[in-house]
Amino acid sequence: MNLSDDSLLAGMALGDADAATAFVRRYQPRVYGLALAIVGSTAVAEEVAQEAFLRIWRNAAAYDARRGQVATWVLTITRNLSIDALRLRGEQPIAPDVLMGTLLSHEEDESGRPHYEDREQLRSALRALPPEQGRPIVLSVFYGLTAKETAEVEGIPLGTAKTRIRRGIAKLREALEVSGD
Amino acid sequence: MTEGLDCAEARELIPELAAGVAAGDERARALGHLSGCPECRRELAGTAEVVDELLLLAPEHEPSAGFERAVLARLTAVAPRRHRRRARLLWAASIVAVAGLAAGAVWWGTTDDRELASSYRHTLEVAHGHGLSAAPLLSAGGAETGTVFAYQGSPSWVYVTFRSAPPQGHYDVRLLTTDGRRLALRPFTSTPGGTAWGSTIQVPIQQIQRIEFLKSNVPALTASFG
Repeated sequence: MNLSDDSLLAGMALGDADAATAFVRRYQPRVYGLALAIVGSTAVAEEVAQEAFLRIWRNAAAYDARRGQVATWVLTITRNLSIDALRLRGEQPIAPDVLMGTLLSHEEDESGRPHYEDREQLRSALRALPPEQGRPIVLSVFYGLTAKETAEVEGIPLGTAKTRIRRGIAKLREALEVSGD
Repeated sequence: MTEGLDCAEARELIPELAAGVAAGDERARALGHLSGCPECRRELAGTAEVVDELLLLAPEHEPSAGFERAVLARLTAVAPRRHRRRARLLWAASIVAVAGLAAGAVWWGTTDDRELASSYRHTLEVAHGHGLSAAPLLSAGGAETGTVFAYQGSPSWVYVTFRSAPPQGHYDVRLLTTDGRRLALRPFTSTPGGTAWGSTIQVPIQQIQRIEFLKSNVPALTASFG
């Protein structure tokens, strides 16, 4: 039987090892994939992914399905741990264009997946953004840089960095709202 | 930090809030504004949705053989936090829900545990936090005068909401750690209508033993986390 994400999390909250096994199998490509995209090292990405599953296991009882998708909760945990790992090692992201290219070039191969159309719509909107708006968004969302840090990396004034991020996100939001209509 | 933000100022910060990168002081001030502004909360929710969806664009990759076995070995070695811990979180959640989400005493009295846990989680999501704790702030006579929230992040901070403005005047604020250190935090000047104070902290929140507000070197308000 193919249990829902919510059901598996509920099982994990009760300490069910079978639920944990199914959950790890289901999510490990996404968790490891996101960690790898951010930290860039297979060894560090595996450490981050392990830590992410440990944190999910410990906090499964606090998850509430009414607050959104399990996937976004899981990936937010993974992203935060990836950023922590980068900072712990004193490594700075230097190539947001590379990650942007990865996000844009990848094509989903399962159109039947939930929210597939949203993701493709968002990918198209991200592709359509001017690079000077896309890069700051990647630096902020994936690498955890503040607007001030983004401005330094991009060599632009703080106000310009904030404006580019805000306008870029507004365009992406429009795309999501259109696809959700 | 006691100064409030208007909508325009809060919206400047919303992309950073949604991405979880806002600096501690700004985050606290923005959250203070959001607690009383449904329109800005909707704006944050819409922006946070974009951030969430962007994370889903990352390509999938299979880790090396043996990864699953290693993960499961770690999981089964560590049991999920049990009822005692959960009760503590729910208690913190209820404080956050009442003070941070401004839902009031009726909400406090009618919400079930699940909703409290949800509110706690939502607060962490909004702040993209790594941990949140809370303790009641008591006067020298033992009366509860407010709540101290401690947030573990980058940076970590403490934030106080007072039920009403404390007696006017200057307060030195001190953090006592579990290993006996005494750290000076940002001073607080109480003014009529001032109902909040905050400061970044340089220690993990698990090491907070006590927060003290001192008037003329005498503890006037104290919150114990131990």
